[in-house]
Amino acid sequence: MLTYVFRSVFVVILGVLFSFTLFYVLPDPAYRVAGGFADKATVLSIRKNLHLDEPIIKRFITLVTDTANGRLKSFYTKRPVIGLAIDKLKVSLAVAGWGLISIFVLCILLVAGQGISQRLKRWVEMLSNTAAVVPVFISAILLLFASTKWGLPKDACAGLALAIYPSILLSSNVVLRLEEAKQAPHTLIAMAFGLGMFVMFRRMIHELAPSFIILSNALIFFLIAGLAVVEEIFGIPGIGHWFLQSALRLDLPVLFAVSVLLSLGVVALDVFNKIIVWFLDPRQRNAW
Amino acid sequence: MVRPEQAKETHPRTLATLAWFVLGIALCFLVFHDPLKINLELVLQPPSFKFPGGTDRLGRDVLARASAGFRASLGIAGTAEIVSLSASLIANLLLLLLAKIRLQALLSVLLLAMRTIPPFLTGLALAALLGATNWGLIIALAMISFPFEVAVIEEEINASLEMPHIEGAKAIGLPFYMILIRHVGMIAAPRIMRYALLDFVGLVAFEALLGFVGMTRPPAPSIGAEIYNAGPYITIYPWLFLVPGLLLAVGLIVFNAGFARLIKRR
Repeated sequence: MLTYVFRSVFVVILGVLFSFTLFYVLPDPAYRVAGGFADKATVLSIRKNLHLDEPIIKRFITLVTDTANGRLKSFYTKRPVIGLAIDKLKVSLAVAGWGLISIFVLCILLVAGQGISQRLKRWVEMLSNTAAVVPVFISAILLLFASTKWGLPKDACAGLALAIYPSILLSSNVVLRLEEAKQAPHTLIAMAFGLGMFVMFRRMIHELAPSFIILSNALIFFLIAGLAVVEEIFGIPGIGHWFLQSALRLDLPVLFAVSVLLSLGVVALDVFNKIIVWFLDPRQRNAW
Repeated sequence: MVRPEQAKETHPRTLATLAWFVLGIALCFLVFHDPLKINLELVLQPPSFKFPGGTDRLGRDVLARASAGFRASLGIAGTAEIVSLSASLIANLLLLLLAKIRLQALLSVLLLAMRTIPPFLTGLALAALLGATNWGLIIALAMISFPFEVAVIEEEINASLEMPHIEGAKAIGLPFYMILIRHVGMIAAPRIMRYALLDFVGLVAFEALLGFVGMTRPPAPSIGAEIYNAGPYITIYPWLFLVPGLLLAVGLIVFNAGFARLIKRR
């Protein structure tokens, strides 16, 4: 347990170092921010503004302490990144909320549909294997069209666009796990004893919940990327749209702060998942 | 020896797998006109016999641009997959070497740290920093794939190393590099290829996504950029969106299904 906690802290530290190397060390950002035709004075002023003229270690320490204290400012708006992120997050939560509701509803419909139709099951299996193959932006543009034409709420349509792939993946996983649970020897024995429903329910919780939680790590990455694209298409000024615009404008402080926050979030989610799995699946307790 | 009834069973399947790839490659060569040629007399023409995909605001053939853009996406994603696969193999060799001196955890935690940052964000930021050149996009896409590919390869190699006959080979004193090349490689390679093929299709989608958010070099056609530019005109000139959108969706599904069938056969 303690080793795991230490390892998580170490992962976060290395994640911060990786983000720093990616954004501030590898390519010289001053030239990229200045553009192709900038003169030397402009490049120098950008270097000074981004603290690129300082030694790497000092630059790293300043950046990390500024991020931790909430003093790190956007290169363009000069507003603290954390404050901006909280404002944008409020907007994104509405879309994400609609997305989660849509995932839940679509998942139930797809699981029920796969129980009835084998053809649908084959299609869902094929689509879930395609690893988000049909990009989210195609479905998002079609839903934007529907939203404009029939006056549907923008947030709900954006959430639905976000939910299509995760619900396919989740429903396919549920059906697979249910089939495994049905065929497990102890389930068959228990069913033969007439304990069917009760054992199935327990088995479902043990089998499904941990795999969902593990799957949620993959889905969170998809949702973050999807949120950026969907917000861009629907013109929603949320955190995804903000990050996308910051990346295109090379607003390095924003990119660094968001990467660090996401890195922290992903590690925290992993710890949370591990704790939930520990409670739900006794077999996993030995792994600690 | 293949019995006649077996041959009868396998033949149509081979043909079907081949058909997926032929269809996928055909989608890359639907270039009936020059995709860069501007013709202001034929602006925004709906699909016709002469222009099956219609024309855009500059009179360029929409189908030709979408097809050329898809071909470019395949090329960039394919190169990125090769770069990422090579880097992942080298990283895994390093991991195996470090394991000998008990320092494997260092590199493995670093790789874990790389996986905590969402790949799309890393790719997007890197593409913006390196510029929307072919190599900029290739490096960005390779960085999207690399941390996860390393993990998959590591898992496959570790699973292979735990097999009884590998333990036996170690016990009789066969050199480690020999075990790695002759035994582990033979077991893990098909599984790694299986992952790489499906990952390649995912990278094509990511390349289109980067094009969609503006990582392109106009006037060179990019399927993502074509879809983005068509977005506002979807109600008035639907073919501007439908042709590249459908071509991309069909192309990705076709390649994915083709690779999935190929993997299943193995």
